[in-house]
Amino acid sequence: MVILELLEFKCPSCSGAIGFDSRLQKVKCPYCDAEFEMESLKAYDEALKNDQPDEMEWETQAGSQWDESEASKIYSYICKSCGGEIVADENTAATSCPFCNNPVVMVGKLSGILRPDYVIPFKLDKKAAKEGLMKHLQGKKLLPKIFKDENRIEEIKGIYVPFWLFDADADANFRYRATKVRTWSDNNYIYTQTRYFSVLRSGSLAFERVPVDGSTKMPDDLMESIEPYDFSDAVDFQTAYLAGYLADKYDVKADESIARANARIRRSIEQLFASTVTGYATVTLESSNIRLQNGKAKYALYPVWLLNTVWNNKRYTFAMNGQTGKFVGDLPLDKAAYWKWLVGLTAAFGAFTYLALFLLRLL
Amino acid sequence: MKKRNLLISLTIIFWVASLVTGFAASDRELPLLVDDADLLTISEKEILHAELERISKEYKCEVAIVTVKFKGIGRTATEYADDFFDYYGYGYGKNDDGILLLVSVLDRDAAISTHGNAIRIFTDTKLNYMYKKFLPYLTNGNYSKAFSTFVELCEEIFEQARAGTPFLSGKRLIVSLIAGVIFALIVTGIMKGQLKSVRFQPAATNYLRDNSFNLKVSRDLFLYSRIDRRLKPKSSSSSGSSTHVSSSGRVHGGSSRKF
Repeated sequence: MVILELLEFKCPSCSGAIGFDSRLQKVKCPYCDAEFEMESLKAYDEALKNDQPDEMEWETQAGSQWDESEASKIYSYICKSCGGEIVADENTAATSCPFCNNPVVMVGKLSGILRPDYVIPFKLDKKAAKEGLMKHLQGKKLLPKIFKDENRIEEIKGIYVPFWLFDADADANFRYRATKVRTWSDNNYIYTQTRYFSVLRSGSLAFERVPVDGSTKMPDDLMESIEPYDFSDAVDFQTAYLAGYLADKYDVKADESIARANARIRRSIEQLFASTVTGYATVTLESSNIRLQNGKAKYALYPVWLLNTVWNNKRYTFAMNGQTGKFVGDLPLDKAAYWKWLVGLTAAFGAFTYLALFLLRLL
Repeated sequence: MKKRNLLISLTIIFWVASLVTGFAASDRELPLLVDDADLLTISEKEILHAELERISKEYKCEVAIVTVKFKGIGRTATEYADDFFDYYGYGYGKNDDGILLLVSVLDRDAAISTHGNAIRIFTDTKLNYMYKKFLPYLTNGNYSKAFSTFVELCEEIFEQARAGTPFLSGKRLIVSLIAGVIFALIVTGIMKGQLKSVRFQPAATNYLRDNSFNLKVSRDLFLYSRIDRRLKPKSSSSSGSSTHVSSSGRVHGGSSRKF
């Protein structure tokens, strides 16, 4: 006696229902005529059932409370002009705001914020920051010459910037639809065979200390541009490291920063899994789910050199990674030089193309 | 002194000899006009023959017209034209540059065979253009007009080839200008890009823990395949000449049409 195993599947090509008879070796979709192997159809169906929603939950117990004696040695300042809040130890007199250069006033002892877990101490000094700027301005043909010549940086300040660091283990499942294409021809026809594959990938990975800028005064894109920091230099926070430098007070809480960390982690996971799908003509993502576990956040201070200058009534801010020396900052465009280059290059390339076309007798 | 005289006279002999072979239409066994099908009157023949002689000499490339009643079975019109060209020794100079029009009246076939330099001059596009102009006269039975049109077209195309590609061309100017602007935009775009260094980091790959990536499932399931077929586009290359090899092993250009 033959036991019929009757299962129902969704056609991977047209989503129509395919009745499946276990006595047959191949299955044909009655709607779109696509043919399938039983084994892959079963596996594909299982993969469909495995689809789960994303989970990206975090614990955000970052930072700790200050103890009395530490807190009493740290003063808080506020800038009346831009509202920036900074802290400095008792030996460092903060006089001007690192963000807008206006005078700051001391508002008293530290209060209301957490104590950092880690700090990466400054490795590079003010001189290195100046050299960094000089190097940054070199070799840029569309930078107005006047900007380079007249460049007077009003003040260079070393600031500890608050960062939330996110750790997480991730599990991820990805399902892609991929095709391989083969073309051949006989006397009359060109044939194109497209083979469709369901590509399943799943695995785990872990992220460590993905930083998110915790200060609204520091532009997030500027801070992400000077990444990465090497965390192996980090030490447990001691107020002594603040001597001579300012520290920015965080005003974005850890749980408000999670979205940014999630977005970056998600993008990394997507890129990493996509890079394991090779050998296909086309690959499209069909479904994905990412689950984060053991999400933890820590609070750290990272060293940044901040340089400000005003040119043509516009403020230009440069930042240098105080650990690695990576220097960033957008520069103004010399419009006249831009047009000169555009017209000149058009003429040169155009003439070259014209001559090449003539010599090769094309057109 | 004697040695030098000998050298000079030898040089002169070689020069004269090469001139003679240069003119050598000598290996041709038949005239430029062979009207075996008897399509033309005697006076038409005389005029056409003179015209073929003139144009062949002028452009150093033989232009021949051959008519037959029936080309026989077993050969295409193009093959017949190629063989006629090869066996009767048509062609100008040592490369046998020439173009031959064959008309087979009962088969209603017209074929053009080119050889040597003529392959390059009479590109597929040019041949198509010629057929379009003179075939209607063949269809109407106006053979004299068809042949004179053919000769005029040959002359027109020889003239174009002689003039070469003109240096000034509006089309080329526009294309170069567009290409120039695109190149310049790319280069200035790169230069502009140097000014911008502040941007968000899209991913967090720097913070992936070393060796933590563990791919547990990696399955590639073949689902199904489809085969699409479409008609091969007939080769009508806009520039260049398609060639074939005749039964005597020589390379010819050309094609044939029905009329």
